[in-house]
Amino acid sequence: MEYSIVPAREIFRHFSVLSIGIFYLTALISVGIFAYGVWLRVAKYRGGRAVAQHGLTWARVRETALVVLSHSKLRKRNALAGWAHVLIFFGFLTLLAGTITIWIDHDVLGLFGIHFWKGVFYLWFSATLDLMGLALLVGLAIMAARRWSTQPQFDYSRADRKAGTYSRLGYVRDDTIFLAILFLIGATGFVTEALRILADRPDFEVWSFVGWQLANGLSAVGLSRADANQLHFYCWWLHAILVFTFIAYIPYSKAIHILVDSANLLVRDPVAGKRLPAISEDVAGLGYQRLEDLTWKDRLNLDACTKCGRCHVACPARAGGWQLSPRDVILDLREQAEAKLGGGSLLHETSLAHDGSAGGGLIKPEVLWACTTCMACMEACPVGIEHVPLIVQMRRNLVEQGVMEPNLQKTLEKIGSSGNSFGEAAQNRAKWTQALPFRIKDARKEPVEYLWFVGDYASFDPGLQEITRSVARILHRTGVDFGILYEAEQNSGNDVRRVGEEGLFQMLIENNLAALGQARFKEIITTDPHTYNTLKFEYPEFGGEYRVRHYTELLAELIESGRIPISHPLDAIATYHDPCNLSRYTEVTDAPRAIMQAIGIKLIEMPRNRSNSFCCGAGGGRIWMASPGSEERPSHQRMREALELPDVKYFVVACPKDVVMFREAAAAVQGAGHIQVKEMIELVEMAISETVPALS
Amino acid sequence: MKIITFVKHVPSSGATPRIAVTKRGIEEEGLAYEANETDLYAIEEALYQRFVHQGTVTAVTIGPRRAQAALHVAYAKGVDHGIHVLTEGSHGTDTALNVAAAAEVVKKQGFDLIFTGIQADDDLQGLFGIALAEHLGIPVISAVTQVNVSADKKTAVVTRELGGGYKEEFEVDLPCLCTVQFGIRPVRYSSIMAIVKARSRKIESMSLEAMKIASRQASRMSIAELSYPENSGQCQMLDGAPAEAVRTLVANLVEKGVI
Ligand code: SF4
Ligand code: SF4
Repeated sequence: MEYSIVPAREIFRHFSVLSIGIFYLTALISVGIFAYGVWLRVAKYRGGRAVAQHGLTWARVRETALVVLSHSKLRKRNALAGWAHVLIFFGFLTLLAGTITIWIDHDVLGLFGIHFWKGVFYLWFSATLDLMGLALLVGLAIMAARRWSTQPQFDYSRADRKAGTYSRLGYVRDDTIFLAILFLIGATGFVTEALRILADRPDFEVWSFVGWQLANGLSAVGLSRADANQLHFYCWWLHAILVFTFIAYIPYSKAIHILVDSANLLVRDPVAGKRLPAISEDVAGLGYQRLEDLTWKDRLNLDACTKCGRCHVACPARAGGWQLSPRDVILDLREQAEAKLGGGSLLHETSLAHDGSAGGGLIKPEVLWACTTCMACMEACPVGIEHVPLIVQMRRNLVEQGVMEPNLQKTLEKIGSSGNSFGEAAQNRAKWTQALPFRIKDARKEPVEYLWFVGDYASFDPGLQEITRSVARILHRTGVDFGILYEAEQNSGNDVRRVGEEGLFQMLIENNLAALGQARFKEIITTDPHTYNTLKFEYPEFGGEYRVRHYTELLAELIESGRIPISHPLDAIATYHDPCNLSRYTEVTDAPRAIMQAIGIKLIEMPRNRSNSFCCGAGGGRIWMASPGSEERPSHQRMREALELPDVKYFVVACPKDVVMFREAAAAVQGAGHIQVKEMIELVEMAISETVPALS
Repeated sequence: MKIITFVKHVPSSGATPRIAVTKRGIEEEGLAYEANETDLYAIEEALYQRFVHQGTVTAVTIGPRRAQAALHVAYAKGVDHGIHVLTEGSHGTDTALNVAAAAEVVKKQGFDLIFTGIQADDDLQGLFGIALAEHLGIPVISAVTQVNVSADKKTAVVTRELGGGYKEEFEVDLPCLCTVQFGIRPVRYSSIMAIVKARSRKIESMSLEAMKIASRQASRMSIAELSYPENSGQCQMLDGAPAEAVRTLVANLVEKGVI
């Protein structure tokens, strides 16, 4: 056989015209099936309601490209899976780019007799593709090993249904097919290459190092060049058919995540969950009751889920044995959407027995009410799925129907009539100040620098009022010019909105904005991270734009500038629980740590810290609900997490609700007797006890 | 089936009312109002009966202008019509006047069933429903906990509560009146949005003059004096460890001659 000295290879090696024709026809059919599937999906999205904003800007495109290329979200919670995905992703992308390169050379430029796929370029091309093909196979092997390990997120069992009433075998099959077909494509590619090399043995093909070594191997086990020549033809076709099958299969399987997830990341809302969507005029009810109520973006969200289970393992409601799993909410809605609107997977979850107790809505009330809106799911999700806004939209429907547990109903009624969740008369709101030896300014009557939005729990809970007074004492002694709104302050509405009672939320906003409008101040500080979130992210939409900070931010600043001298460093070991609303919502994680360091605390971190914090279980209105989960409470689980750490004396929090939740946990969890739950401010007051004597 | 319910607009229990200087009423200023709780149970029962037997539910309130808010709540819960009998002078506590007005309304509307709450949270008289039935000459059952209307809608089996958890079951001809006990079935939450929406629903307004009822005409009672509750008991918190607190408790009880 004769070879050109310029390294290159024939695309259709020893092919008849008929074979080449069949090849192109098959390619066309496969691309046709692919396009049809994609079109079905696009039609499904286009049928969704319009979205007010979807934040698609150039900055977003850049950011998304960065997220996708760096795999930052994928590697964050699970490094192994993340890196395996890096191998698959770049392996796949390179092979795809390689195929496109060959296509351009052969079918586009080739028509004009121009060829660049040769010579030195060809050699580097071959080496690169071999390397990345290998990466793909290694990545797939890791993923397969993970997939069939015993990790809980992969058994796909639902939190809200009894075993035996449904089957998710379809999901497992889809996973299997996806992994297997990609693996086979890679493997047959290498074998085809090896057979060709064995048959022709051009020296330069040593650059295709995997194929070359494989060819050596085949030769060593006795495969003759003639046989290799024969086999090459079949193997080539096998490879081609696998590729075409895969292309056709993409839009009907989890492989579609290649396209959908990129799109989903592009249109994700940067403040999703932090700022909940307003009520839409074009929805029949107030929230989501039917599939038709979902926007195109919601529908895209549903299709983006790869069932990776990160949200499932992060969810405190699931861990506490409630019926909620954020993954299952998404998958359940997706199954419903696919059944009704088409454009979906071939393989489905199947129902074996009816347990449709969704009560006329999309998802069972028990499932929806279990959510603490802690945002752990959204933080963990690598593909930007926005569970919390969806859950709240469906809760709005429940609120409208009046489907809620009595405790919550009582609380909402109390808030409606009194403006606070304790049902106390407004005049009593500032009663906690009476035990102070000084008077706090009324910001409505005299201008102040800092307006302190105290919040319901800090104001009314007798167990917390001393802590609230601590904050006042320290600010007072430091000479901070601050005031409060006295009886005009009402519940900020953060959790009311997350419960889904949008009307009540708007009423509270209106009242609070009226009170804030009377006051003169430069900046708002809050003790309650929940309040902080809604003031920061949600009030602006209603005309309330203020500079807002958490008191820990101000305190850290005052300590650093020396205005609060630390005279009695504590010299104790503590761990710090990041409140969801302070870490994931408002992203304040450094200030509390800076304070602790300044007051002499040796901080030992729990495994789940900062944005990966584990919710105490009180958010999203859960503190007003009683329905228990079947497992240990999230706050108790969290206390155990702290117990694993050596010598921890203080369990430090920076949220009034956390004090309530974790004092209970410390008393209830066995072996936690030596742990003292402290609000940050208590420690600060201890550390400056000489400069600021406790006065009450 | 035509069902009529009555709902009273009462001061909400959250704030402590102040007695007016005349001692014959309370200061209106600073009070918040709400729909009377057992009247909401009556509405829930009426809506349930409508769900089972079809028909309409009308909610009626008798009181000053502000009392319309009670009808907004009723509309938010799902009643079909709201009627407001405007009585500017009385504060809703004049039973004779209320009964005279209510009788006019229900006669005009026609009805198969009337549900009222067992009592109003403000004056706790528990008279209205019973007096109305007397006035209309129809059977009345008080403290009702269950209502089963027969298929032909001519009779109903009604359960009422007795002391000690006992129950009594009646068979009663329709039309009749039931004063509904707390908790007959859960009162569903009315969202603020639903109440706001209900504010735009039409409320039929009726005046006493048009019904030819002179205010206070029928009243032969008047309030002589209201007084604040007296502090009768006392409460003491015992601090300290449980064992110690119990010792103090026992010592105190012995001292007071209880044990
Ligand atoms: S917000 Fe928190 S509780 Fe709700 S589904 Fe997500 S992880 Fe679970
Ligand atoms: S929603 Fe996101 S985190 Fe949860 S399983 Fe799906 S892809 Fe994974």
